[in-house]
Amino acid sequence: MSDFSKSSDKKELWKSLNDYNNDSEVLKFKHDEFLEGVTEDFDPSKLSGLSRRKFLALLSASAALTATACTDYRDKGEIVPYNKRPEEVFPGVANYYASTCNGCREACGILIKTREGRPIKVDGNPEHPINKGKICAKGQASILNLYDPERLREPMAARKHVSWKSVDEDIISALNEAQKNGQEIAIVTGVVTSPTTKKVLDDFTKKYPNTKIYSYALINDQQRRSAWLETYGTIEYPAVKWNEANIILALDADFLGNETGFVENMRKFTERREVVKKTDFNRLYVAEGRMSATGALADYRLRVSPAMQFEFVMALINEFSKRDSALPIDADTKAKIRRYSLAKFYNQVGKEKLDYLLNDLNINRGKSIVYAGDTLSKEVHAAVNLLNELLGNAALYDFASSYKSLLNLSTHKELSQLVDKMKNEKVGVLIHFDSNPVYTLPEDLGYASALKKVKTVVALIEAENESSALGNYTLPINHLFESWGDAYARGGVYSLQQPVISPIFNTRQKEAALLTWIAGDANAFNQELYHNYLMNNFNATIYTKKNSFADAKSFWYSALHDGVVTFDEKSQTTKFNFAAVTNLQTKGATNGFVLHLHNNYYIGEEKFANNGWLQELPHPVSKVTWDNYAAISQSTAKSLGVENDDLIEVKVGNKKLTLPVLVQPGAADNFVSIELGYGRKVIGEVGKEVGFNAVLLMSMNYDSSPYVYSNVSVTKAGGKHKLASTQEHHSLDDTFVKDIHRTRKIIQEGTVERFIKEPDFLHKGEEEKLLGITREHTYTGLKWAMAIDLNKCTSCAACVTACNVENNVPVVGKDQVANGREMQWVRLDRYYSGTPEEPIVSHQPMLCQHCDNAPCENVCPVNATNHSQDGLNQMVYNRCVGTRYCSNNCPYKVRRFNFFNFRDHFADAYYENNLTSLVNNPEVTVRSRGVMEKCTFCVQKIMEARSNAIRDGKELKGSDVVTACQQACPTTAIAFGDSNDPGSPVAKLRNHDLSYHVLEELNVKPNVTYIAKLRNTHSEEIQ
Amino acid sequence: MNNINRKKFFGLIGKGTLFAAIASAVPFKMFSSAANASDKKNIKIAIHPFAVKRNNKV
Repeated sequence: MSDFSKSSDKKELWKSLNDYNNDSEVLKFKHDEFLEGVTEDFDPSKLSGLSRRKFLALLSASAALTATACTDYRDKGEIVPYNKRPEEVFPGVANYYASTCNGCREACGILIKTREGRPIKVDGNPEHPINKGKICAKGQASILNLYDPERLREPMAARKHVSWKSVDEDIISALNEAQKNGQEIAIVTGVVTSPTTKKVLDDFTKKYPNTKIYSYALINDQQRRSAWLETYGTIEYPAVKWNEANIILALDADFLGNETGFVENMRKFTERREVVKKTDFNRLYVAEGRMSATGALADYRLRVSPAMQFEFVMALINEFSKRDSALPIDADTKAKIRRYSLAKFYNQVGKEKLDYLLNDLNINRGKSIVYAGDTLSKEVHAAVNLLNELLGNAALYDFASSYKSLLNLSTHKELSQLVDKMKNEKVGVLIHFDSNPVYTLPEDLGYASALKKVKTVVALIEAENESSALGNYTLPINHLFESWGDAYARGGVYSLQQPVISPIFNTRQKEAALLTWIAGDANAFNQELYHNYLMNNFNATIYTKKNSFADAKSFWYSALHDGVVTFDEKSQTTKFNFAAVTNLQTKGATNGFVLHLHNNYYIGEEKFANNGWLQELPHPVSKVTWDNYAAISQSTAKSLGVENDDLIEVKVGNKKLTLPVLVQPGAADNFVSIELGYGRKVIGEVGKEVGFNAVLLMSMNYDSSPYVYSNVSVTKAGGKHKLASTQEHHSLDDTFVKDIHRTRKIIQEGTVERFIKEPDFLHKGEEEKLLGITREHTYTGLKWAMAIDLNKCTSCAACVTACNVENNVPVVGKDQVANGREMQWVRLDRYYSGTPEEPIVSHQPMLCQHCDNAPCENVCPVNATNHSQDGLNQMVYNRCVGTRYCSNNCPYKVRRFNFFNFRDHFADAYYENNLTSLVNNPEVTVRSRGVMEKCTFCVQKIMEARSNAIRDGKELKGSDVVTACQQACPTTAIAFGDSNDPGSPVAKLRNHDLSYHVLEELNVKPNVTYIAKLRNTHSEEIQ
Repeated sequence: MNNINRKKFFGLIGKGTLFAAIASAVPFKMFSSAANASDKKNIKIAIHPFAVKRNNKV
């Protein structure tokens, strides 16, 4: 060890021990200015053999190598002009065809847009009196089902491809044998809304008298129809005149979300929410256990479990009978209803709200409506009918537009009898007529196991499902756009369905298959078999009824052109049967949890489970995608010791299901709600095992309703299942702070009372106009702008789906959604305020605001985003290099980045097949990886309108352009047009007292104006 | 400095290009392109002959 104390020079600073000891090398290093070897002469022979020229030559060769390796040499196809152009086709010009949607039993009229013979978009048919030009998200997205690569393409027998002829021969032979042996021939179908299909089934039954038709749907209105039969003597219940109702009480009735007639309901309901025309606002009370889309719109929301709804209604009847002795209730009934008291609900609902409800219903007799949901029991519906009758609300029933029933739904008793026959081999042939009973029927019926005892099982379906997997013959049927058909779902309205495209694959119209088997000859089939049958039936029924001056052929073509034939239907006179309600009672809720199974919003019973656009649509309330869950209240979650994503086990009798939790503000306590339609096992790649199958919890032996169960046990199961929710993506604030959306005025609301007293309350006392640091550009010509009325928005997501279809927005999958990379250009933000038990829900569609002072435009290094002369914030995809600075700067977080090439990058390459790529709209660029995209205000429609205006020699007007979202919105909440035209709807909304811009203080000058929502409560302040 | 004449320069370019063509994915992609093209034959789009067009758009 050195003795540092002996060094001659004592140093205070040293870099190393050598330096400290004055090492000679260190001293030399300090002395010389340059390092050794630097000043020596340059010797070229010691250089490497690589010259600069050689280096550049190799560099260019490797660049050429990279370029060729990266180039996509795949043949993209040829563009060849028509040698013989089809008469109707003009390249670049769209054609429109009227038809009828078959996504659900509503049978809405649709218009199918085609380009060069290829369907690319579906919108509502404006001529149809029921939906009036609007359809739901399912209807909008149904186009993707046509191009589903997992559609069946060829008939199969014992899982092998066979010809139609051999299948026909086999089945005709099996039918004849079953008929001869006295065995039943069962046809299991869904809800039948087509009178011609009904006729085909009748003809089939005439040919094979052993035939029995069974009709069943997972989501049905059987409880309501049974109640109407008992109370009014008809199963065809009327529509409700929502636009004439001052007070609406909805009992677990999601009539604005996903229940019967919701598209029409939304339009009628929001007619009484007009702030421009200043109509008399309606008031909505919703009494429910779960937080539904309708509940989110309520002025007053009452937390009442579905198991308690019967008591609630009877308690209301009791209250009214006490207040008004003139009500036509006999003494016996009065005595029975005395035991029901509203006091039982004071704790959970609040006396004040109940007093408001009673007073409102009392004052508005004959102008109010009490409406029960489809999932509630027959007894609740009967009680509701009684209440409406007593209050004179039957005046709001529209019997002329009643909901028809062409084929009664089979009862559980009938289905049990079918299964017994199947088990005893008394069923020779069973035909699944576009149905999936193995999935939709409760497991304890034993349908799946009984199916194995049936000799011949035929499935006529579009895509493989759980029922076809257990059958002998799987026969592919035409998609809606390839099919003829008709519908008579509502009184006085007959809709026609026509094919716009010849069958893409070797599929067949399902009715034509039956007609071939009726004929008893495989050679009887031809492509126009059902077309001719339909036309003949139309002439015999509708043409005869209309008694038109035109000849039959012309009338037929005219009907196909319009898509609908209307006629006056005599509304039946009905009288309430008080005797039916004298002994109403149900089993009240007992201990344990209450389970409520209900319809989902976007994927339907089974048709749309393989539709990526719909699976990726955020739930209107929870904003969860690609999953269902058990929704429970916050206090219930605390008592179970669970939080979001934790798995719980829900047990009903001996049936159980493990699924993740979602803590839902506003849900009732000790209550679980689960959506049906998920957990499919036999379906395409998109829908396979998405979510959890809640049908497993259903039972044939239910207390009052097949959808509501009491004495349910719920326990923590351990483990987690991540739910991909979009509710905290693209937040306009960094942290989830209570009521931040109100303090930052992202959501501005008021009450009707305040608006009447003080119309300018929203902007009163506001500071003067914000000044900018740059000179403002003045738009003198046409300037595009949009206005969204939040009083009308119901968060139905028809706009989101329409935008996805119109603009080729890709599906990204659950994992990417969980990372915040969903690609939807318009999103529906949902904010809560108030308390977790009694939340106030606010919706707000958010899309690119096309700001005049856009912060995204200034920061793009390559000028890929800029502003047009007519006010559009434009995106030039091929300039974009993907810095994402624009998205970073956007205060609204509306820009979407293509992190992957969603079309052909992913392993399963959802889009990378020739069929699905046909869904793309040729008018809109398909974006690649690394490129930013966002709402363009449908610039392709603007360009088309501009071209048409130039061609016609006219000036382009704001009203010439209708954006996809505006077109789709069932409530006309969206207005779009020229803000410089003072007469345009958008200009009027921009200047309305209730108009505001989101984050106005940033002075980005957005061109999307929002109309503040007014809540129709009894106070001037939002509570 | 190494001397490089025109002949050697173009010779180098030529060798590099030849190497790039052989080693690149062009042959593979050409084969796969042929395979993909065969799938397209199954998709046929034809307007239905009896569809009645609507004159006005939405």
